[in-house]
Amino acid sequence: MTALAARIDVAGFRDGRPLVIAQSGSFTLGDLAPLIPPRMCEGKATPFAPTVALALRSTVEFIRALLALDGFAAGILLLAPSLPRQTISALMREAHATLLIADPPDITGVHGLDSALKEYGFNEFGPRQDVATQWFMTTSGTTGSPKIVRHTLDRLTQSIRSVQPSIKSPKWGLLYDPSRFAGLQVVLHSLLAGGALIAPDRAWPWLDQLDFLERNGCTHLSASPTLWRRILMAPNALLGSLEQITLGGETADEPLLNALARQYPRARITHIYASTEAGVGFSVKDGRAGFPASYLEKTAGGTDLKVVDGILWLRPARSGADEPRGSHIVRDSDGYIRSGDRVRIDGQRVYFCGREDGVVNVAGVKLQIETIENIVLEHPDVVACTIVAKRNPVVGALLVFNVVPKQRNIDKAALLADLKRWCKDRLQREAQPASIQISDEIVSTAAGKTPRSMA
Amino acid sequence: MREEILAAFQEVWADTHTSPPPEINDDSVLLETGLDSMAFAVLVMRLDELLGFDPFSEAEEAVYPRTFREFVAFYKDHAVG
Repeated sequence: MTALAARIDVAGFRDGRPLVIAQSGSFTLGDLAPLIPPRMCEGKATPFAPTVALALRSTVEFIRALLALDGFAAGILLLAPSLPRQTISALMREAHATLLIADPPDITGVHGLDSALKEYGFNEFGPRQDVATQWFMTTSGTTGSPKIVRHTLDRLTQSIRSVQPSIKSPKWGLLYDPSRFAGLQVVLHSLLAGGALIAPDRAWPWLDQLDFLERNGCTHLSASPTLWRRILMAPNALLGSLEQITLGGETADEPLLNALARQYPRARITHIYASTEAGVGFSVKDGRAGFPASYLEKTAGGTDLKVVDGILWLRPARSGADEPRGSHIVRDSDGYIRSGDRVRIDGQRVYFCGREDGVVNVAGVKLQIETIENIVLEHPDVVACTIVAKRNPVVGALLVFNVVPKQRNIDKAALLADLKRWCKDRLQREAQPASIQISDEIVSTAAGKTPRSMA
Repeated sequence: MREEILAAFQEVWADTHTSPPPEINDDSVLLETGLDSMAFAVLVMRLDELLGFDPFSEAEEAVYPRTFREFVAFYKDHAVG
């Protein structure tokens, strides 16, 4: 167990090479972690700080906080800065976090990074033992209220090979929120695999973010299929220096993979299958949709896979004390974790065909259909609601709501407008209806089940 | 076709914005119109309902139109095809 800052120090960043490039400037390891504690010895130590929640807009501040707190605090709870204060409080209670670091720290009870570090005496400690800091991450939820998954740095970084930085070090672009699983993977890769992170402000317009990556010579970029489609729509064929293209978070389809290969002929294209539940997944590098059936016998990276009743199960390479935990994780007696992803085996290839019944992936967000239906049913004028996922070439799928009003003679236009508002107030963007149909009959299948399969 | 697409664009805009829609001409860059991926996805679905086809799903090779002109041309190509 070596703390994050010490691991980067080992990776040879003492020479003033920039680690993070943001609008406010370039930052070396010395800028970000001026007082790296001496190498720690193995063993359990008492934490010097409680579990700390981070809700930071600035990627630079976020990385400074990780470097300062890992090995020092009992736990780090990574939160999206856009979360409502109420949700932050609930998640902090669940993770037993007692300190919130946010920017700007303008709410009562919230600390800025520097004041928090000062308060807990970080800078005053000399040689010490390393604390096995818990990393609490969140998964996206249907209503926008996230669930906590517990990790360790060892597990989060097990697929990263630490290397010495060199002239040809990769420059990783960050288009994700680094507090979420996909974004944190980009940050940790850039810090530990000898590269630099290019971090545009995520509040900027999309083309400005891409332009920032372009201007700083981004060579490695990880994005969801939805975001890659949006990159391909950029007018000036940006990002000509890309060497590595990575897709994750949603199923990558072959037309998109082919279009990327045409646009970026020099780049390697990898699509990653990762599950927040399992902590890791596996990657596919042959530029084709799905993955080779041979992975079911043996995968690169050591994650074991099996298919049971059309559902993919994964067993992380190492199981033991540091395996991911969370109340919603389903694990069998052999240690395999249920991914919830349906797959189809076709000859030598395994293809993804959506989430198991009741869950739909819209633009990378996994949505519980029943939860959404129940929220619509709480509307005082609604007696029934069924939701169908409609396949969509831009974001994978969209939701179509079929709603039956209590009163047949209700003003349908007024109800429609009210339902849109109702959903907007209670559901996150991806869970909102692309279309609402108001009808007099409940739409159901012959078996009486709600039709949720992809139309 | 162009007018139908423009009307659908304005309708989708009104669903997600309180401000009036931006002025769209043939050279307008789609990524600069203010429609994000979700809104763009809804636009493609509305046009499928309205016109009876979705060229993005029908095309054998993925096409990513960059301007409004390219977007309309893509729909026109598939309407006659």
